[in-house]
Formats: sequence, C-alpha cells, structure tokens
Amino acid sequence: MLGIVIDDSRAMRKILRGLLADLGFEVLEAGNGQEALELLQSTGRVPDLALVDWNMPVMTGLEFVVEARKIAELRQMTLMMVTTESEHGQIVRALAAGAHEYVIKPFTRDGIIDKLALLGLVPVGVL
Amino acid sequence: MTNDVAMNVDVDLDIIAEQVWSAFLNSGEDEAIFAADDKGSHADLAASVAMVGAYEGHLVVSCSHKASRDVASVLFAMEADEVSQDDIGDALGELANVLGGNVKSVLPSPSQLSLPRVSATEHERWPGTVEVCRTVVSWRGEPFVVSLLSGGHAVHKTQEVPA
Amino acid sequence: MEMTPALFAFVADLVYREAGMVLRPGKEYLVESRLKPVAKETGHATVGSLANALRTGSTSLRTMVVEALTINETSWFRDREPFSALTDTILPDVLARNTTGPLRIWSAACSSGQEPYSIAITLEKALPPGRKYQIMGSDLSEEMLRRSRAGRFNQLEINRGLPATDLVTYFQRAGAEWEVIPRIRQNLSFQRVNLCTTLPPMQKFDVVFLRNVLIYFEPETKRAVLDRIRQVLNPGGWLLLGAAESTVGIDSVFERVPVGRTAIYRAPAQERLKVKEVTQC
Repeated sequence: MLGIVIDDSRAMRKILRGLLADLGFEVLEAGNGQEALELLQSTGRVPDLALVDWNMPVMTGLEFVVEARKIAELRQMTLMMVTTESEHGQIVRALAAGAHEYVIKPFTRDGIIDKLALLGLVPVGVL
Repeated sequence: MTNDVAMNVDVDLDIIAEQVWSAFLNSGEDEAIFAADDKGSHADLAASVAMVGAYEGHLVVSCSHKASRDVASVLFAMEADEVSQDDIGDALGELANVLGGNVKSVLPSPSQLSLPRVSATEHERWPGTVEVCRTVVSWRGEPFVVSLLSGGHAVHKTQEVPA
Repeated sequence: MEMTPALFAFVADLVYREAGMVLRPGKEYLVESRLKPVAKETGHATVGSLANALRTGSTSLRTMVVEALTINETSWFRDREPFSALTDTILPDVLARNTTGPLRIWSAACSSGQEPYSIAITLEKALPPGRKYQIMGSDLSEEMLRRSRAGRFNQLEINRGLPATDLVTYFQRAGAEWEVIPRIRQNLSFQRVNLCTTLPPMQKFDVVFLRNVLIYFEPETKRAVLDRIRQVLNPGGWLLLGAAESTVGIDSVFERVPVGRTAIYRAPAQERLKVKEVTQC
C-alpha cells in the first residue's frame, strides 16, 4: 500500500506518516496540493490513499481534491480529508468535490484507523 | 459583518481546548487541566490564525519558550533539546490552526481561516480587537492562554510562519 | 497509599457484585488508569487511597467507581459485520414475519449511545419508506444514559468510524459538538437496566444487540442473562453478540446462524409450550 500525506505542517506530516507506516504503508509527503500533484506526476506513482489537509499555501486541499479527481490515472486513489475545517457545510463541500472520507482534527490514532477500516484499507479490528 | 457570537462560545472554547490537548498532547502523565487564571505566567510566543468573513477576528494561543519547546517535542516525537526554532514554529502554528478551525465552526459562517503565524509576543499586536473569551490550559505545569479576539483587521491573512 | 493486592481484590469484588464484571489480577493498570480521574475528583491523592475509602465510603462513591470501570469506548458501527448481518439477513426475515408493526430493537449496555444510533442509521437506510422502528438503549450507568439521551458527541467520538456521509446526513452541529437530528432521536428511548437482575417489564423485541457484555460475566451469570434476553425476544427473534462471544456451551436454545465471518443467534420460532405437571389420580 502506498499513502501520501499532504499537509503544510511538518509535525502533522510526521504524525500521520508514522501512523500509516505502522499499518504497513509506504508513505510519500507533500507540503501542499501543488507539490503533491507535481510529485505524483514526476514519479508516476499512484497512492492507494491520500490524507489531505484543507488550509495550505499555494494549493488548498479542496483544490487538490478537485484536480486529483480530474486525473484519470489517480481514479483509484482514496481521498481522505484530515483537517480542522469542521463546519457541516465544509464537509459537504469536500464530499461533493470528490473526497471519500473526512477526519476532523484533532484526531486520535484510533479515529484514523477506524476510518481506514471503513474504507477497506486496513482490516477491521486492528489496534 | 456582525460579530454576534454564540452565547456559549466560552464553553465551546473549553471543550475544544480539552479535546485538542487530550488528542495531541496527552502522552501518559501529561494530562492538561484548566487553570483558573494565568496570573504570574509569562508568554514569550504567540501563535495565531485569523478568521475573515462572517466572523472577523483571531484565535491566539500564547505560552512560554519552554512550553512551546515541549509542544514541539511531543508533536515531533523528539527530545526537547533536539527541536529547532523551525520545529517550534511549525508545532505551535499547527496548534493554533487546529484550535482556530474548531472555534471557527461554532462562530457565524462562512468565514475563512488564515494560515498560522507565530512570533514573539512583544512583536504581536492585534489593534482594534476585543477579547471575546479565553481559557487557560495548564500542561506540564506551564500555562497556555487560548483567547478568541473579535474585530480588527485580518492583517496576516496570507502571511506564512516566519522562519 | 499503595494499590495492594487486597485493595485490588476489594475493588474487583465490588465491580463483580454491582456489575457482574470480572476483573482478574493483572488488570491493575486498568483500575489505575480508569480510577485516577475519580480519585482526583473526590480529593484522594492516589487510586489506592480511593480504593481504601470505598470500604467505608458512600454508595455514590461506589457507583462512581463501578461506572468508571465498566465504561467502554465505543466506535460507530463497531466491528461492521453485525450491521451488515442486520441489513442482509435479519431485516428481510423480521419484515417478512412482522409486516406492519414497528420494528423493535434493544441495544443492551449501550454505553454513550454509539450502538443504538448506529442501528438507527442502518434502519434509516434499509427499511422500506414509512416503516416505523423503535430502539431502546439501556445501560447500568446513569451518566451513560444521560449522554445517550442527549445524542451529542464530541469531535473525537465522531471521528471513530462514523462515515462522513452519515455525519452530514444524520447529525447537526451543536456548538463544539454534533447532535443526532431530532427525526432520528424520536425513535430512541433509554432506560437503566441491570442485566444481572430480573428485567423490568418491557414489550418484546425483534432484535437484541448484546455485544461485548457477556465476556465480563461468569458462566452462571451468562446463562441467566441469555435466559432473560430470550424471554423478551419475539418468537424467531434475533440476538447479536460481540465478536469474541457465543451462546454455544452456555445456552442450547438459541440457534447459531453463521453469517460471513461471524455468527448471529435466533430464538425458537415457536415458544415451547410449558409441559403441565401430570398429577396422578
């Protein structure tokens, strides 16, 4: 499994990278949406999962989701927002744009794992 | 551009701060507690995010150098003496971002959240603002003042965390 | 004060008597971590001194301790399989037999409410339009019942496996928390039930969720609880247990029905007629 963590905070990227690595993922990182698109384009790699922050410089997570959904090669990539944006309307917007799941910061390790189980990316009952 | 803040925003601020500390900064014995006040505390650093739109204001979290180093040490899972100034700015900025986003969700919407800004408190001014409410979190014996400001110009809407 | 083996035994005995839950030696860490907040709240410097105070302490102190030790963190749609069994196997069967009345489901030991509300969301999606349902949630803890009734959950609880599409469809913001929408909440009721004693009078149910409860009980208590549950199930009604639980070897009346990687249990379709005693002339 390949995952990409897109967040402008290095601390947050480190936390999420560690969590995914524990679950057996190989992990890529990007500091904003634009950087992520360029990384995926230049390496030709297609992650199974993208964890996407919303508020980032250059290209926001919402913009990234919209762009990623336009790219045929990335059709199989599961998009999960991991963000502090937490109004009802914001979640609806992200889902409408093509995000598959949504985790609100702050999160616990269990919360992320539960959502990945929901998406079929880790078995149910992993601790 | 009214700033009619929900009556319970002070309670919500407590709930939000409690969740942020328990999820991100609770490694075993570090349980955060709410302090009655911040008397005698000295804040060296302030991290803030601005809200622009239906609500105009700032969410500011301030603390001492030592406390900010501890936050970075927990979030980066590194020894306190290993973290750089850059790590501290990143960690404290993310703390303000997470607090700010959650606080924004209980305020009039729609509003946009700025990227976080972190700097020495002596350089930070929020002219024309009024403090709506605050909560003081005591963590590892260090106070963190989390305050919601209303009004003022969102001067640092697009600025990034300074090095 | 140290948490001595004698104090641990006292706490374990208390929890067994009040809640039927077995705390074996080796679970000291659980007692320590769960009771630390209670100790702080009640002015005891250590968990050991709190445990010592229990010997002479008030009923309310004992209740606080029992509640703190029996609370379980719950995810939404926990283990998932019971909920697909509900949709795929149980509902078609129950709807075929109970064609008009409201569907009745009991979520026993519902903790802070994630299970009964998960059941409600499942039914909202699976039931034919207009078909009514009633869900009863029960728990030993008044605090859990209060939280369940409120139907409010904080951000961390919401993150625990609730699909985002369900969040935006069946919840609304309530300050810093999320609240189940009233249209769903009106189908749920909550009451305190102690499974270890005679059940209060209640209407029969089509389905009972009794998940991750039996594991805490000794065999005799398990048997008694299953017996009581069967008496409040409609003929042919269904029982769902936790992943690590089974009626096998405890109760021979429930029929085990394998579904996917798990199993669900069915009460006999016809209640057995009681055999009258024959008196000799």
